[in-house]
Amino acid sequence: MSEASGFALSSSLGLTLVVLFGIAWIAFGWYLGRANKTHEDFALAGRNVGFALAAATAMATWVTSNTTLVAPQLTYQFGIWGMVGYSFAALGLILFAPLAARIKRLMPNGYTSGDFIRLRYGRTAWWVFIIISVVYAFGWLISLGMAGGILLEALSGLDYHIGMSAILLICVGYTLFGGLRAVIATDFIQALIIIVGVVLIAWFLIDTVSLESIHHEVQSNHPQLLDLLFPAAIMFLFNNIFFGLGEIFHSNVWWSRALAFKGKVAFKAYLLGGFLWLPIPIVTGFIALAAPQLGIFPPSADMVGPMVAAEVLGKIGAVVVFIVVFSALASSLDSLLAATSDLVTRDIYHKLLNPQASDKHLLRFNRYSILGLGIVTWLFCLPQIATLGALLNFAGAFVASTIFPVVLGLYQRRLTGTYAAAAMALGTLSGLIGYFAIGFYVAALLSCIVSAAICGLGLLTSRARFDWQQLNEKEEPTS
Amino acid sequence: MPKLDGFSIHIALLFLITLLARPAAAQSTPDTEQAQTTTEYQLFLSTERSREGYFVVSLDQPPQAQLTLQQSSDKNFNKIDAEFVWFGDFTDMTLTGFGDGDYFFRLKPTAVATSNVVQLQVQHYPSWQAYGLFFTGLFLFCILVVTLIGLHMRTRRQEVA
Repeated sequence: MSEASGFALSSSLGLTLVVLFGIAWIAFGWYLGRANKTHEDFALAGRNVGFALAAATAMATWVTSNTTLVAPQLTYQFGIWGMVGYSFAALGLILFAPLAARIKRLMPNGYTSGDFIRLRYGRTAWWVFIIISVVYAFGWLISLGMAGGILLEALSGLDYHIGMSAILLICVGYTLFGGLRAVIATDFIQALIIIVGVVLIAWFLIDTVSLESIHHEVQSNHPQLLDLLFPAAIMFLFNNIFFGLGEIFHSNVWWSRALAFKGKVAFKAYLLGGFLWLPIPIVTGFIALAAPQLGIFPPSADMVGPMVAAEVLGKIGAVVVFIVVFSALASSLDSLLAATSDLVTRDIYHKLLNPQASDKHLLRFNRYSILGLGIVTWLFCLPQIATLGALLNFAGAFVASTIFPVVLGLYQRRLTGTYAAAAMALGTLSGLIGYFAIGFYVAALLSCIVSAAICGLGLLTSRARFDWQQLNEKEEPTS
Repeated sequence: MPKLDGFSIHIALLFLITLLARPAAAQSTPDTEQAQTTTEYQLFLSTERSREGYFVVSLDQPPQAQLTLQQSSDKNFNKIDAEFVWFGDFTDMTLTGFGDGDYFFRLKPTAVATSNVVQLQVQHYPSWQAYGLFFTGLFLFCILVVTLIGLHMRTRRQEVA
């Protein structure tokens, strides 16, 4: 740390890095965006993404503020279980692999996860699903914007609002120009940066601060972090798994990729992406266990990762941390902007408000949606309302209720729209009650339990036989 | 007319006596004077009872000098159990990994800083509640995985047939 300010980077260096990154990514987005001729090109990259890019985008998108800032936060708060439990979120990608293959087969012309819910369960369930999707999308967008601000503040002392505004501006910029094509291409580069950077940080940390000294300090002064029977951590474990499953199973970020991947690539890409992702939270989480040994007790638990890495690695290390975390944030933020704007354009504007809209008109509306989402997110990010972990887990109450309706909807003909809508609505309500009455570490679990019970009841009582052909919706020709 | 040497010595002695007679603080420069002022900080806790063993300790103002937080199980601080150096000029410090018990915190009293004493109780969730949720989660997860894999394989077989 620099003795003068207590921060690893000077404010001017932090700002210079942001500006350089911003120019590079936006120029790259503009370059890739020149190939986009239709709305399908812009929203689904022409449905022609190959295996290497597909696996990289699956992995990079899932490496986000969750992995780089929240995994260390949860390790700092819950110890070993926080670190190991967080890596189980890889199960979301791994279990989505068969679903992605099924989605591609059932909906070769589909656009969004909202399309599926509308065609499979009808309007009532669609409305419930859209509310859940919007709450989740904004929860994640806000957490990513906040993470940008927190990162810069932790490393350089630069005001939170500057970092937060910068990352939003950069990601909105290149997504606006390049669409999903730019998002996936930048994800590929960002995935390489993340893997190399995380390995470098772990290497230097173990080399500088020995495992023995970290273990001794934690055992002496923070023994609960090494306790495998830590009650709150045990309660958190499956909650985190269901939260991760809910995020991936329902979100258009993952559905749009499944639909954009070429042929039978989706299954293998999600499987490989999941296995590549699995060790990353272990490494980023481990960093937090070194904090007490280094005398770092952060002002906010979500700042612990960058602060420890910067302390151990010095100025060069702080630059590496900045590049890795900024890449991780950008790879998720751009994906979410693209996927949510698709949902707004396709599900709300095209299917509900203006069915006659031409392809050119939809392309223009999609771009306005990205811009609008960026502005609304920026407004929500201005007051730093909660820690990242708490904010994300609030969304867990919503998304975990969609797991069983999505899985059963893709494979089971008998589940009807009424039961699916009730499962999502009552599951969410139960999760929220758990969130406020017990704590954030039970919200997703309670939500999923109630939703599963209602879906089970629906299967037992229903005699319906859904026709899978209804999912293969043909587009009306528009000029 | 007095002798110049004698006069000078007398003046010097008088000056020395005057200086020594003044309080020590009066001889310090303005900078030193500021550093010696004791600041009374107010400590706050994010919660009085933590169920997870982590919590935030806050200061009412940014630290003016290097501060150290002391932890003790005794409210009179007869035995100091741990010390935590305050990081940078942040007003908050997040502490973690505490087992069940009562803890007292204060800033290490120095010439430049003192504080009030704050008390925290750590009481983790009961084991039955933790295990109950753990095994419920495990059961539900097994149902989900078996359902998903079973349905997927059945659909694949139907498609092949």
